[in-house]
Amino acid sequence: MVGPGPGAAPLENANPLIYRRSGERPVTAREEDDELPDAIDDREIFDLIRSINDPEHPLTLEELNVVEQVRVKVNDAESTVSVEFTPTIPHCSMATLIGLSIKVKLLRSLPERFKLDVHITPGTHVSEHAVNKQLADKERVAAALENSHLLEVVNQCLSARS
Amino acid sequence: FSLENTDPRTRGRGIQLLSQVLLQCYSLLQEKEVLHLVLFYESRLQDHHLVIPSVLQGLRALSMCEVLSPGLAVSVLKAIFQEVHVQSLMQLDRHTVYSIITNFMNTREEELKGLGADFTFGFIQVMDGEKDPRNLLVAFQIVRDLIAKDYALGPFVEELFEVTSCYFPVDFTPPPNDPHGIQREDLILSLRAVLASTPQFAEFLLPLLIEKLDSELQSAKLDSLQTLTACCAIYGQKELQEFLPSLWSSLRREVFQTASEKIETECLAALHALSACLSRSVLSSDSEDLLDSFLSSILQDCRHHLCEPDMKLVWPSAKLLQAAAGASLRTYHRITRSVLPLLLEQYTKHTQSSQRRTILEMLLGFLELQQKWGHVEEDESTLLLLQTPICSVVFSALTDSSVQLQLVGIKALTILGSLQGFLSSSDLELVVDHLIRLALHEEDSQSSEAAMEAAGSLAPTYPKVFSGRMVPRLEEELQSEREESYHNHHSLQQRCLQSLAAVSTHTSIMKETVPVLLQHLQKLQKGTEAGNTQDMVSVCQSLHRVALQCQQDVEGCWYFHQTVVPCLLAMAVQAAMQESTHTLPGKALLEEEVLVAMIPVISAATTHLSPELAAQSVSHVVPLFLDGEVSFLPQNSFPCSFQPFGDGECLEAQRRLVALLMAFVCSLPRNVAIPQQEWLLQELLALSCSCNCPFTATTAAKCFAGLVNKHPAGRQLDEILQLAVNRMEPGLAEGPRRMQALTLLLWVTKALVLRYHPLSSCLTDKLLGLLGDTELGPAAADGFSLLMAESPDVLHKGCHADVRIMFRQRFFTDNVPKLVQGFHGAGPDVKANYLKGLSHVLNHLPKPVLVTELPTLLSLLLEALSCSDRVVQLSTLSCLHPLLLEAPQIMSLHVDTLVTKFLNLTSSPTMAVRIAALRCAHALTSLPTTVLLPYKGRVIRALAKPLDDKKRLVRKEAVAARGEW
Repeated sequence: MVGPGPGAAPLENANPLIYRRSGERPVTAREEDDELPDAIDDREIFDLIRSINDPEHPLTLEELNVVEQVRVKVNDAESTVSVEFTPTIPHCSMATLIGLSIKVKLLRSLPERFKLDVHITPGTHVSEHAVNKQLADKERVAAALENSHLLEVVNQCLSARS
Repeated sequence: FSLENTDPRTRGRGIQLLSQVLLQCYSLLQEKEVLHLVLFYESRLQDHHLVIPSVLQGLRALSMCEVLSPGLAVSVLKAIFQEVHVQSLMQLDRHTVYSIITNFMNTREEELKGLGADFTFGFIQVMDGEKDPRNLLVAFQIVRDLIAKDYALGPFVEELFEVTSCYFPVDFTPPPNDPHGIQREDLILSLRAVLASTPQFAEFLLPLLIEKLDSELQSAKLDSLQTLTACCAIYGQKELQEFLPSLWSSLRREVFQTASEKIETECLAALHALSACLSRSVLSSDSEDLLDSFLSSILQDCRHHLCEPDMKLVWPSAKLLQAAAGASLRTYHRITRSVLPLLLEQYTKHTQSSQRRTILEMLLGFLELQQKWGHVEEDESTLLLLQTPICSVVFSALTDSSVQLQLVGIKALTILGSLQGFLSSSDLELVVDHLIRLALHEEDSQSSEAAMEAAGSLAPTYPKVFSGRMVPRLEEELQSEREESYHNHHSLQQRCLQSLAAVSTHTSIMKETVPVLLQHLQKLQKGTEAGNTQDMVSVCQSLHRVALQCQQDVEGCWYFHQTVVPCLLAMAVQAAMQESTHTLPGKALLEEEVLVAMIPVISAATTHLSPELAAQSVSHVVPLFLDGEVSFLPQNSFPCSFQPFGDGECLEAQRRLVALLMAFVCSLPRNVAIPQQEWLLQELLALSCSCNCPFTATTAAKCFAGLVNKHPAGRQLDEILQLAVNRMEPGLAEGPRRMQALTLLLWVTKALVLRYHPLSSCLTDKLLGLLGDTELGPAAADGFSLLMAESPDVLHKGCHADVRIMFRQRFFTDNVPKLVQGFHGAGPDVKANYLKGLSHVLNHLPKPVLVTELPTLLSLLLEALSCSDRVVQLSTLSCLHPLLLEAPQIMSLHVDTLVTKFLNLTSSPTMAVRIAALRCAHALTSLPTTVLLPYKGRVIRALAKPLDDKKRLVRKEAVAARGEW
């Protein structure tokens, strides 16, 4: 499950396409009103994961178009979240790591009632099924996070950019 | 005699004594004595190693003698070089040797130069292997002097380079509690000064720099880049020639791949310096033009990336090219000649707005560089040749539907406009039309604001075009009464008002826009529509903006003052009269909101007046209020007399205009005398205590305070203050107007606290006493925030008030102990008042002061967290937040209480408190990990609950805090 760490010699994709970052979500008057509840929506989930760093570029997943708002689905009432992500190239060895980072970020940031589903956008990766299976397997995710080296790499992806 | 004793220890002590004596009295020695001593000490250098330190001390003393005869310095140094193995000595003794050398270099430069390269060689041997940072700083200084003062280096250039460059890059971390205070940065800078001091080092240094640049270490890269930049200041073509290709490839690699912005910046700076260095060198006719080939390779490597505006490398390439282009006029021409046509071509080739935006942004970067060289030169500028395509590209961006592209287009337009002689007059008209369209009709407010800004910054350059074309169009739009939906019409008018204000950046334009604005205000006043209030406020805001823009210009400022102030006063007076005689229209103008909006207009129009002009104006305005002297107002035929300070029910409206008086008199420069000031003060005092309308009473109190603050000290001031105290006291004690009395007390206290007046402490004590009052207590507590905060309209620096810089700190030290004491002595129902007052004081204190003072108050603050008042909770949390970040050691002691309290507050019913509590919980993570570890599980579990908070803003903070834990 471990890809080469960041900094390992030649990058797989040295000159990737860059997408523009969307701005901060503007705070509406409704959000400042103490009385009205705000439901958890797609954008809110997207805001959680868009700033995750790519393991090999100093860029965010949003800038690399790995995650898009349209590929995030949330149902607050039924407590389900589904995220699809698209690796930059079909044979990207980082796909599992990226998926794991997204999953960990959501685990840490969402109320426990939510059921998470993180998987690769169909048809964008060569070993799509294997990766999806790994990410869906709770025990494997838990085991991966016991690995201190891997946890460090994940935390690095999740840490705010300096 | 101990100097000749056979025991080296005793001999050493003897020499030590002698050296100590010499160190005290070296300036008194005669030439002959010095000669003898020098010979003696030189011979002692061969003595036992225990003796050497004292000998060196003695020589140091002698090296400071002014009467040292010629030749001795050389012989001392020779002896030291020959007899002493410096690096086997202690740090202190090595330092002594360096001092001797430095002393001689300062006083005997000529003699030492006589030694030739031997001196350099001797020194190299002395410093070879030095390890102590203190000594290194001295040694580096000596090397720098060797080079700067042109000592002969002879064949030892490489040795000298080796002996210094072995420290590069500096890797030194000062030990904790280092008493010498030498920082890594000191050594780096000192070494860099040595390495970059002479082109002779180039052939050795450049390979070293390239090697370090290729290393993995960030700090080494940074240091190399900065050293390279420093070197370029003195190098020429000759030194660089050989290394240019590898330098370029290293720089390119770093910029293309680095994740660190710092390295990127330094790389660009280095490239800039390299190009500047190459363009500076004089060309000899036969050698090839290095600059040209260097730039060619840059262009070759970067140009094609510019054609892929979606790819990662497009920006690094553009930045590299811009760094090189910014180096000199020649590089600029060389690069723009190739790049600009390419960019223009790419712009037409790509049709997506996001790609176009990237391309235009790059173009913008190159255009900005052109500004550096001033006006466009007629014949050789590539820019002029491309004038038509550039303009058409920019104009197409302005009409694009993408707001982002529009914004870049507007920026580009501003720069094109600032290039003298670039835009033709027909282009200019087009520019203005575009700006009008964007400012008024573009739906996105960002674009329209940017267009207004652009108009404002271009207007001073082309005042004629703007006043001739833009102002009439805006005026027309403003007056048009189209039958569109109300909302559209309204927002269009708003835009017009804003644009009029924005474009008034030149006096000639301002003279046309101000009448338009005033006219519009008058029209609004006559109208009867609902919602007028808001429109009037907008006009006032526009006027305020104009006032701020023309403050620096004497003529414009006076024009504005003369036109606007009487006009506003006249309109207000007229409205007040109408109200007094019970006719309805005109009321909107007297609404609190509108009056409040007028205050900054009048204030801004007054603060920058010269004293003479201000005096002229004050002689009109004050009599207007005191005597009802209306003759200076335009349209001054009024149905009845104006007497704002008179008694009578129907004068309520007139009294409100004290707000305008306040705006004017409180903004005057301090040296302008106010006619009939004592009378005015008495009237204000009376009004503030007796008036039933809170707005009027507060304004009168503020006006009184503003005047008292500027009143020169002396008997008169004391009398008027005594009068004020006499009126306040019975008012505070009882009666229907206790609030008014408290307001007056607050404002007068503020006026006096600001200027350190002795009476201020007496008034503050009164205020502290009121905290215990069940009725006035909460208001008094809020009053502390008024005392400490910057007030927007009076009593601040901008309106020439007497404000001492440290007044907040002083207030804090004087009164906080009393607050704390009061808190402990207070009954349970009023305790919160003290906490509230305290937290207001703390909130306004500068953070650095807060951090040093807070630990003493910490227990009180922790208690305040349990207070049920949410204002107290909120301000306490905001006090604790910086403390957590800056004084983690002290806070660690209370971690248990803090964790519990913060977590409790995350379920407060108030959103703001929840957010603040979560922020504090987040800040807790800056405490030492060992302290936090026991709480980790508990906090993470507790923070799961706010993740499901019903408010999104709360959830956002919870996510941040939990993620950090």
